[in-house]
Amino acid sequence: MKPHWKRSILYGGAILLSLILPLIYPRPFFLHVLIMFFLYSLLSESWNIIGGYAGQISFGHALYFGLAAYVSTFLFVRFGITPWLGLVAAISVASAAGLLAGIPFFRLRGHYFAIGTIGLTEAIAVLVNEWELVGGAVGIYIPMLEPSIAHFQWKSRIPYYYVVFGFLVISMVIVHRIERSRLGYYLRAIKMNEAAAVSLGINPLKVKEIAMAISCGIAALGGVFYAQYTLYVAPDTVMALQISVDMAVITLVGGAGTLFGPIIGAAILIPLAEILRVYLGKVGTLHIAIFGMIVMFVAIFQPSGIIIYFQRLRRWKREV
Amino acid sequence: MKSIGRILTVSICILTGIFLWGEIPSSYGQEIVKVGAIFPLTGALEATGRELKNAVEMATDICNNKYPELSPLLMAETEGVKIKRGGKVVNAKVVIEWGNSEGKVETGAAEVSRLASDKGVVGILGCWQSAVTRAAATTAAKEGVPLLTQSVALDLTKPEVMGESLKWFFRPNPAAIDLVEVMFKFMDAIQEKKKDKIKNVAIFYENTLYGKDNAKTAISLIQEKYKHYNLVATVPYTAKTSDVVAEVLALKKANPDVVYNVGPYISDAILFTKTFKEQGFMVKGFLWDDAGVVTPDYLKSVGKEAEGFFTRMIYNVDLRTKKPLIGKIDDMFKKRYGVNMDDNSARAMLKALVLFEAINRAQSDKPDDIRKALLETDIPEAKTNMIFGVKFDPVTHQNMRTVGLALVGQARGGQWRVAYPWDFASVDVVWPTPKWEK
Amino acid sequence: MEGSIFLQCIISGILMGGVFALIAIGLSIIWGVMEIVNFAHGDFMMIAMFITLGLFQYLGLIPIFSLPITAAILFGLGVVTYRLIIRPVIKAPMVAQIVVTFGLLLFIRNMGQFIFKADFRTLPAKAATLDGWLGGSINVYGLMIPPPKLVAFILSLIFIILVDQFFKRTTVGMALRATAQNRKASQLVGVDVDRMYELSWGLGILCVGIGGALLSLFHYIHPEVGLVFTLFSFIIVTLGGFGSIWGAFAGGLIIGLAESIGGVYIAPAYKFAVAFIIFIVVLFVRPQGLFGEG
Repeated sequence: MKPHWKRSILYGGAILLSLILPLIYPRPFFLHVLIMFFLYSLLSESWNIIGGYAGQISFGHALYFGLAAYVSTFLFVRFGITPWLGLVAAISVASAAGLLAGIPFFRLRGHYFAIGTIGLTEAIAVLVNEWELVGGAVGIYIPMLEPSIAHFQWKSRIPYYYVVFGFLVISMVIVHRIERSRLGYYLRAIKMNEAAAVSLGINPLKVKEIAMAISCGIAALGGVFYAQYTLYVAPDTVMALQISVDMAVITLVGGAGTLFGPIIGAAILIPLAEILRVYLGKVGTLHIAIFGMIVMFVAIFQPSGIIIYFQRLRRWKREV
Repeated sequence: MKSIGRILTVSICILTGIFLWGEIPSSYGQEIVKVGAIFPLTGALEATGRELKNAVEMATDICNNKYPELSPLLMAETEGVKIKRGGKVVNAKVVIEWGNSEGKVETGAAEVSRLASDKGVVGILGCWQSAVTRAAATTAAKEGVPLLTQSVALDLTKPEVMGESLKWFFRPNPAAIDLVEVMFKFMDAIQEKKKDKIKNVAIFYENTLYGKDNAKTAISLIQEKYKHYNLVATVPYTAKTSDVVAEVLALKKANPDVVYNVGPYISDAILFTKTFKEQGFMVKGFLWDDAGVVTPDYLKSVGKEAEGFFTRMIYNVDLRTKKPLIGKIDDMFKKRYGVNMDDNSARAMLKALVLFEAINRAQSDKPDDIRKALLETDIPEAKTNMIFGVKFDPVTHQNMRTVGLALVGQARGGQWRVAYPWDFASVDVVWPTPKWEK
Repeated sequence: MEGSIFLQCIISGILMGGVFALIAIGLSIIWGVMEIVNFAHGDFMMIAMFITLGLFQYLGLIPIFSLPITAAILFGLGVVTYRLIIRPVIKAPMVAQIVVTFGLLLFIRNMGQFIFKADFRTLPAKAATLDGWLGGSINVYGLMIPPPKLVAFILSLIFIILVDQFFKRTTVGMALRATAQNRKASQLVGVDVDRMYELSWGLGILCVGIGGALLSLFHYIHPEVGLVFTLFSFIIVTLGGFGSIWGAFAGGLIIGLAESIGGVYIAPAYKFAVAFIIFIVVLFVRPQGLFGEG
């Protein structure tokens, strides 16, 4: 049993650095990029549970993110319920929606599942777009309020930074526990060979549903945060296909089915996107074309994701 | 292959680090003042964004340099703005920091944050789209920076809707109510002039903040003031859609005398125009509502098919006969950018000049001083590039001098000409709309 | 009045449906022969539309004459895509295959946005009415039949018949069908499977290219138009059943009609939702589609 203290120092150090970073370098744009990095790492970890560990490639995961954003925002703007309580409701609704969608959809495999998830999210986005109660296409604007924890609204970016970082840590702890638990074991079994898993007595649907509920819960954390950070929810912003795609692409590029894969993917792709947007503003969505190239590259040459290089590095170092 | 992957990853990480670290806080030069401008510079609205950018660029140039020939236009005779720095009054040049809203609400709001906290702008012009502007207003209020808009949605200057955000928000051009109402006044007037009857009105609108808001305004006008019109249909549609056959058929079903769209994007306007013709849908008057329709690209794309259509506007190059200053400004614009000014560019220029004037009057680069100066703005019509002056309502921050000053234009020979009110008209109005040519 | 609006919808739906079907058939060919779903399908269609527009704007070629050029270019694109991107992942896990065509989607769509800008364009009237040969809408007992849609439909139909005959009567076509049915067995009888794959891509993209060129006669041309048609194609192929060309045709008509009628009678915004619901129903009630071979 090799001592893991070296790794613990690394993790501890990273966490410590993340905690003090905003205090030593509070440049707003820098913090914004980091906030987006943490948020997308969070969302990608959520996708990772279903797409990575369970092997069900979904391109519609933004649905649960969006539903959560809507639930907490609606409760906040119409009834004045603090988003922290709204978060509980949002997690419940998102998980319930995921469970419901899973029943018919988990019967589908591969391409059908992928297309089905895209279609489902688009269809629900269309319905929300027409639903006047939640603002229809206009969406819901969160008004400016006194900065406070109860309002989940602050003038500076720093509190948002700590909140989303906290959410990310929680989600990573959850994924880490799953990896080592029986659930993780079942998921890996199903992913490798579902028929064989069934013969071992594993109920794939039940396992996937549990994973889905957890995944949607984590996505909900991201959704509520995003709504409070941008102060606006609308179908074409929080249920956008682009968000679903980002969640999937980041995880796949980084390394699906691993704890740090989404982090690596986000570390590469998020700063790239933000910087391109600001410095090359004229080029519109070129950064997504670049994502596409990176994705194809990874899929052809290294489908397990960039994390492979880090794993090999570690192995090489250990051998030397 | 392994090494390529490694090199790629590491280099991206390094580049990222450099970029992020390199975002050095911008220092205030002794002689510059930064103003932000956020427009849809990419995306579907890129053409409009470009127009707006050109207008603001020219306005900045007018402010920073002497143009005595444009006198008495605001800021034409100054060489920048006067700012008190370190006890002395210095002359500072205005520098525009551009922001790209990409046509999206969250991006627009993020740009407000970036320009205000990273670039240190003292005021912001933006964002053309009502939905984006609304979010931008909230962010601007949070950052404590004044925002001037040219967007007309009525909700934007309603205290009950905007709440605290209204404190930092100003609108120098007319709001939807004037612009929508002019259509009804026009319909009344044309019935008298051409001895024709208009009874049934159908409204179609995009289901965004802008469309819905304007539709609401139109509907309430019919219900409260213009009861002699019969609203036979209200048809919403999804903006930037690909097919409107269903919507046109729905309009056809209602059998109106007049159809009125309260503000389409250019692409939707083009699509509707083509579908009207394709489905052989004819009414006495096709009424548009500015926005995408006054952009030169619209008439260029649809050509003869839009002949005789109407739109409302606040500005038209024909106004030069009434106000020569408008002609001079328009010539200058045409020389630089190759097209006449239109409603969008004119409004953009106005708000830029109004902001510069407030900075100049406050002699300060502190946003709060500028805000106070804006509240005291009192500009006579002779000094603007429009047919109205500027004075903001103390509560709603809407320009009070725009009441009733909208125009109705008609598409004639591929150009928008002024048709109403009769004393501003540059052509004899044609009514009813000529039938589709085969 | 009521009835004629309904009939108008039907006409509109059928005419568009024919073109949708041709586009979907392209997807079906690749899927059938290789079991790879091309997520970037609609984006190739988008390329074809821009080529058609460009050929008209710069060379003055009206679509009927530029059709063969567009078709040839797209066939070539299909082959190149296969060689560069698809062949490397044939043996890879399905995840990689899904991801690679998805990456292609992102790339083509957003490069399109970068190069062409996001404006919605239309083929100028001169091109759409084939240089004025076809004038305004044909009026048949009060129903308006727009000639561009009619021409697109007729040409799509002709092409679908050609494709069908190709598969049924030519040696190559039969070889393709054999590969689709049983890869190993066809290899045993001497079919060059790699060639077949290449051909299926060429052919599939060719179909989508012609479909796109025809679609441009009456539909918006803009960089984001692809995704919706990819989704529709998927739905149509599922609806019509695997391996059935005429099934796809029927599926195309159904989706065209659903879009048209759903648009007027339910609400214009729900057009896509209607198609999606049909998809879900078919998927769970009759997964082999209406005419499928199971």
